[in-house]
Amino acid sequence: MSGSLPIRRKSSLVGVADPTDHGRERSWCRGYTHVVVATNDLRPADSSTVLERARGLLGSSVFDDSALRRWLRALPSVDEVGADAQARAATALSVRGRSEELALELAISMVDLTTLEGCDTPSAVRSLCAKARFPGHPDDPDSNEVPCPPVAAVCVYHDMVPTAVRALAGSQVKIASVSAAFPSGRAALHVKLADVECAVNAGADEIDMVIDRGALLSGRYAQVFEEILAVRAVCDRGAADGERKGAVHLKVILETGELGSYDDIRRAAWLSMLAGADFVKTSTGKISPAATPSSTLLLCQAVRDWHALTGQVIGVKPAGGIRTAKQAIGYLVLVREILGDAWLTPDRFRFGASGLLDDILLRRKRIGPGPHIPERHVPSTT
Amino acid sequence: MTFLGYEPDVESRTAAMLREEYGIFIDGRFVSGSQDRSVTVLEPSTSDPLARVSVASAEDVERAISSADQARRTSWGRLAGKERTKYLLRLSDLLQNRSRELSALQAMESGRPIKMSRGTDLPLAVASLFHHAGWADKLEWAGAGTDPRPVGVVAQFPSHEHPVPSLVRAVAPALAAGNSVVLFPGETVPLSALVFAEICHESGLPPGTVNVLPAPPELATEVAQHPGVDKITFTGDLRRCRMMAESVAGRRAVLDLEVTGGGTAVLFDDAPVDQAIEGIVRGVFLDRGPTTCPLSRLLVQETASRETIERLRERIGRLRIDDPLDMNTDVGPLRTRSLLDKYTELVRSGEAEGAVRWTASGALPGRGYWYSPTLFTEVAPVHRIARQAGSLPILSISTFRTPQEAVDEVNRSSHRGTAVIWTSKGSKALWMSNRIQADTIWVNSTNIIDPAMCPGTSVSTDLDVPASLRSILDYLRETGR
Repeated sequence: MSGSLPIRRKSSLVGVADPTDHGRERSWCRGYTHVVVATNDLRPADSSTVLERARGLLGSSVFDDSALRRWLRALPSVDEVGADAQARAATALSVRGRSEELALELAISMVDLTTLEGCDTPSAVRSLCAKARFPGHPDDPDSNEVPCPPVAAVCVYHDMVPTAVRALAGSQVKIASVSAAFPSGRAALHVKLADVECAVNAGADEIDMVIDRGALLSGRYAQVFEEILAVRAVCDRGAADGERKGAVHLKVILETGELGSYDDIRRAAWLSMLAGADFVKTSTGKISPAATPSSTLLLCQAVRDWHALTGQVIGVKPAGGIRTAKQAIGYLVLVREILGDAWLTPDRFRFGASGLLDDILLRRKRIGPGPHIPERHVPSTT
Repeated sequence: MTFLGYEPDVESRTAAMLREEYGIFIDGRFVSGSQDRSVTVLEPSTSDPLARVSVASAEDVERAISSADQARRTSWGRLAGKERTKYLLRLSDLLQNRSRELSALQAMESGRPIKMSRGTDLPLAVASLFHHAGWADKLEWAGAGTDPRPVGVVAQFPSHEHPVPSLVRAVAPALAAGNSVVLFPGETVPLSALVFAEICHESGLPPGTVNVLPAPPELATEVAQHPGVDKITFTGDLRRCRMMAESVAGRRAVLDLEVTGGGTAVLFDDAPVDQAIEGIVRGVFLDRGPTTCPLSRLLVQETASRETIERLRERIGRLRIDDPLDMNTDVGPLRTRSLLDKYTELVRSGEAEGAVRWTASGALPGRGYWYSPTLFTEVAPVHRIARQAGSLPILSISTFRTPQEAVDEVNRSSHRGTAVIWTSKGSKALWMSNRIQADTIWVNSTNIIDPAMCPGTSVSTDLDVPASLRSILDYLRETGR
């Protein structure tokens, strides 16, 4: 089961319907065939399978706060000083030359281009989607004519999903919607589920839900579990309807900055994976601290250990506070060190960011291969 | 995509500013030895010659000691404390300016990865000088009475494993207290010490305050018996320390011994596993210093032993063994051919005695003193690898069942330099550290060293040396004695 790899090949995109400007997209994405990852057979098919697996893992006949607490407390503890040192050491490794070029391309293909402002308008979202499809514009004289893959997804509020769907029609860029009373997570359950249902019905491919940190910090683990499970059920229902090609993937946002300790981050991650998450995500990006190398390290370790325990592959997404290409490469190194090359694919790792893309493109221009086009516009000779 | 590996980030060899010939530093000048003998320093990563260094003879030692005595009586010893502070601050500044050169040089001559040299060793050396500069004018509060005096002429034999931090951490308190120093770096790693001598010269230290003489090991006992030496600090293995103690017996010189050996890590089943694995691998293979007792033994609680050993194997298998000048390298070569021979022999003996060996796979460069990281499981306390690994990077793993067993096992070993306790339960950590007899005990960390921390002389049951924490106090004597 190989991961999804951007590989330079002659063939163009495979299996995508042909809308108006697909030809243009094809010329830019020529050479990138995303090898489709084999379906993760160990992903529980629906929420009842998730619940059954959870009961099996807990091994207790009663599935309540105490049982979950005992299970979560049995996880190994985390030494903060050691974890910080480990995260720092991983980001100190050197990625230069050809490796840096490949890493930057990979990073672009892993970005979830995000806009989550109160003042988002349809036209702002449309610009975002255009950028998501063609990060390096072909007519841009500064772009060095280096082919650039599209980003992995756009991330918007659920009422902007219809706009995004129209703007991204025919593209392979996914649409992720933040949901479940993002970013605070403070709302009644039926309101959160309605939120998710709206997003799914409007055409979102991925749901980024927040957990209820208040419930988590007050020990109501069963409530957190049930909420994630309920959202997962909505996603599964939405996937079953209509002409959707694949599952609606669920990312669970832990909001690591609010959790208080590294031990709690680890427990939150495990609880989310137990409850059916497909991705664990560090933060909403709305508070500080957002994503840090240490919190990402913890999530990577949780995902690695979950895979060893159940065989299921779960993805990791740090979001917020990642602004420079250098930081992004540091995160890729971290993933590689903890999880290995298999996780270096957009199906298993994403960056939640907005300004990061520009910095990566800038860096690519500086180090990139090919002729460096001078600042003044040189008309194309083809 | 794969990264195609991490691009080598190799420090240029010219950063070390290597010369072909190095003289010895006596009385403020670089001279060649009186017998015109010189030795070739080899580079551990290739076993190729690096430079030629003059070797001191007995006459040179005589001259150095008398020059140091002169400096103590007339120039350096006459300075007020705050003047000495200024010199030491200047030294730390100059050392910082040249730290890139020194870290490259240290990496080349000792095989210590430059990640450690540049990241830990040189900053620690600079910080030590800075810290002890602060002591120079506050000696009345060091604990040696209200009018303490320097001991006199101090002969120092620092550790060979990590030349720069060892020598600086020896020289700094000696100078701060007003002593003059005759430094004897190892014959195999003298270059960084000689560059340090240049720095001393540049800082304007009066001639004779610091003398640097790479000397053959035989000279140590002669120095010990020299009447002009007031204090000797010596770091070495048990056999050499015993020889020094015998040489000094009955003489007026004060002897400070630091016995090199192996430290023990104790891992409980409630330890923070991920960080513990990293810390242990770091302590044994990556960062073997600047403590003189790097980790070599692991006592793991039996309930956690299987998982811990699996994870250790996985982590050790990912270590990068490469050119010590490459910033990505984790593990470099051993320092000398004889160390490599000792290593090979010890590994063989470990297998012969019945322990189970696991070695990281991977090809090694043909030339140079390279080794593959090895760990042994099912090690009994009587095995040689449990007792004698000492300064060699071999991890031997034994199990224990209860905390008391672990305490007994650590205390039973004849060498009790450092111990590391891995547990997330605070009360257990405190309980253990109250009962373990070791100089330095780390809890949930490895090799975190602060310049204010005093390197301890290691407690050893085989050698009757009073344990003392080497600090500024050791370089002072109360007036009237």
